[in-house]
Amino acid sequence: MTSGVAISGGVPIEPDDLDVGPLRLRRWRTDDADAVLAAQSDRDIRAWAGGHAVITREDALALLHRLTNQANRASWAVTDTATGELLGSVTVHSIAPVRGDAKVGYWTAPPARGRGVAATAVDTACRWVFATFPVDRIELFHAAANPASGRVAAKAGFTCEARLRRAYRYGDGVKHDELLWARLADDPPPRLSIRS
Amino acid sequence: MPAARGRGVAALAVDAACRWAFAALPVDRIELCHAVENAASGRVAEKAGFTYEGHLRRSFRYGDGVKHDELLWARLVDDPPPRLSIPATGP
Repeated sequence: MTSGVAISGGVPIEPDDLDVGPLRLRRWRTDDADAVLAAQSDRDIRAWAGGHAVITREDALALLHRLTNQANRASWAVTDTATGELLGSVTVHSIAPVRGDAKVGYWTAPPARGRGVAATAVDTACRWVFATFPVDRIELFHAAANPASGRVAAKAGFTCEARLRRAYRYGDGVKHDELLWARLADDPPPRLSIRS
Repeated sequence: MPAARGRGVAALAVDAACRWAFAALPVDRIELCHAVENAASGRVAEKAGFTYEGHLRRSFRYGDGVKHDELLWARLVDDPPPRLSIPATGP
């Protein structure tokens, strides 16, 4: 682990690059904007990602800026190591060393779905956060109407803890029920593999 | 205060505060968390019209410095309001 990772006074986190099987989790670059824009035009990502809609290249650049410059946030581009293609995104945010917890979010570009990419990326990001910060609980929220996200959570070693009624307003402007999952530092790690 | 316990004071106060928040603020969901070991707090939640939604593992460090499991409850603006009353003090 690098020794340069620290949380203090809102300084952005610069996460390590992480290699896992055929995936490389690396820091974002501004030239990821076009690939981010293409992925974010997907209907499901628009519906379930929350936050700001990404419609233009400027929106994509603004998203990259938020991912890389907001405090208490470690965000990675999930890429195919062999081709360099952007497959998705994983972000651990709200990293709170005093409380000892954090939250994780993710998306996968449509062509990369169905292979276990997101579960492996989430698992890898969580391990890095557990090893790097005094965090022993990472939470994951998703709309109950988005079961694909729940499959990622289960595969990435999370346990479903609660169903929150009408807890979050998603891209359709409607408040949806959410499922809350958590992974503790000493939960049994998942066994994962990526299909090519 | 210990001397005021057992009469439904907390449930009535929580219900009144929630009704005020629902009426005064653009809020339609109020959450309530308490340590699993603190069953008395759960009785307040239930009496005040909250619905149990889940069990969070080691989610909050309480006064003993230890992370405890918590129960999460919520009341939505259109949940049925509770019927509450407070017994009077004294004989």
